[in-house]
Amino acid sequence: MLSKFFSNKNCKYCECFVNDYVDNRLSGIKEEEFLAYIENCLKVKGCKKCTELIKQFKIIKSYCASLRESLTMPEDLSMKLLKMIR
Amino acid sequence: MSEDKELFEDYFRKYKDDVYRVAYYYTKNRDDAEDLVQDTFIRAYKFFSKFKRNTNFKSWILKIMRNIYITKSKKKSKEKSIKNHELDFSKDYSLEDDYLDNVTISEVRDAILMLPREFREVIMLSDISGLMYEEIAKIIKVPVGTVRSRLHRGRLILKERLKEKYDAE
Repeated sequence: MLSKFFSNKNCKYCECFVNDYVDNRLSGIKEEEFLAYIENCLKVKGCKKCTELIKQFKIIKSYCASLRESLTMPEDLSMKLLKMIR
Repeated sequence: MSEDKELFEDYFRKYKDDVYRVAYYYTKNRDDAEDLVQDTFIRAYKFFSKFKRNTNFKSWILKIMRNIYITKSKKKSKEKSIKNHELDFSKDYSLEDDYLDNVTISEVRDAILMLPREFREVIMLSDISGLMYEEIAKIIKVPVGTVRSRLHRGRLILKERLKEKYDAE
């Protein structure tokens, strides 16, 4: 299904799928095809660009998730805005 | 309390931290973030009657925030063009390095804050706020494909910046 993208030699389109894969945007079939393709890339071309990017982007995403937890609205600002709403 | 006020207060309680977080990554400091959040909620409250019920309040208010932020930035003439950032995307990726395992959360935060706004906002909206590409596209008024490519480039720059920092230490 995705062969027309994956046949591209410069990997540009693979990189597109890296993001979609990391962000869980690929459907089951597309995800399987993508994983099979990058596995083949490693075996045949010795290219692990996509696999490394997936690993790195997942780590970056997990750091961002930690940042989400660590930053909240200060209580005094929250109270001030609530008063304004009321 | 009127029904609208009650509903707005519910939304406020539910999304205040998300809104504050995004404001912080736009403005890069807590004082300006507080001002931006305040302006955003005031405007959102003023125009709350225009908010379509059963749609996404978080996307709606973040769109308001972005508009206020852009207007304020233009007024201050601080809006930097992406052309000012000579970013090199042609570099080979540094494979097999484990530097990402050794960075701290604060280093990641600082690296995000250093990103050009175009990339910073998609990373914060996607990876920090957890919005879908389609929601981000509506907020920043670009096609979904642009969100995807900015996210990709942003992550690449972030990765390279973290590596540079790690190498320098």
